[in-house]
Amino acid sequence: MSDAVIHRRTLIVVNDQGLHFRPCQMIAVAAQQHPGSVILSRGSIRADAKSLLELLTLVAEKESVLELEVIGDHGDELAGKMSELFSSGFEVSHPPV
Amino acid sequence: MKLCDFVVSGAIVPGLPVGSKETAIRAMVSSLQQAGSIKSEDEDNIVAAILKREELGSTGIGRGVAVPHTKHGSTDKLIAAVALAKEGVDFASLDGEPVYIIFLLISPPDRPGDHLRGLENISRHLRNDHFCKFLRQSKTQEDIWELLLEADNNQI
Repeated sequence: MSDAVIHRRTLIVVNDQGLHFRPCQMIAVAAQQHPGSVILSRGSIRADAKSLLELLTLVAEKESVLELEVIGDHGDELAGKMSELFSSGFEVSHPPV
Repeated sequence: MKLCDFVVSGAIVPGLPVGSKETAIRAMVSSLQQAGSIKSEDEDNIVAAILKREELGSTGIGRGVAVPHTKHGSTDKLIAAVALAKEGVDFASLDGEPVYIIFLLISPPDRPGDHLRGLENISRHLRNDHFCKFLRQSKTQEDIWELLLEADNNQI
């Protein structure tokens, strides 16, 4: 992993309900497709983005700023997908529950 | 926020009867009603809302745990029930395994931050294997309440 490529993005939570259960589930499902490490951080809190339980510990309310770190080849694809998920508000068109 | 701030002590069900996801959810919502945390006329509506949420994707998160939840105007603060199902409940969990520990949350629609903090609190403790093991071994409401207090005080 000495020459592992690291892809970083700054992501902003735009949906009113923040990173509740379903957005975290969507992030975890997307992250699990990537063979390398995927980390989401809010300040000093770091979460393995493949773990729903860890993502839920971020307590990311609306307008929270998160840092995404994707390690490994093709990580830019996942970083792009994560950016789309965040900017679309996780496409939650139904009332948040 | 601590577990004992929002878990209703009278809504701890140490032994859910054998049954389905729906019967488990119904029993837990009923325990919140019997504890005086929600009105009886809201019970069916809350159960329906939680089941509707489950249709979007199971809240069975693996590790034998489920966290069914809804946002509902019948409460003005975050409340939760806890139940143990010794025989396991088929929750259509992500890992396909039965669920033995259930935390059921109801939060007011206008307090998304409290909802997130409740989920954080539960998730943080559920990551602790000792907490899950001791919880599954608990036999009474008192045992479970004591365990939640210990978890809140970082004694596990």
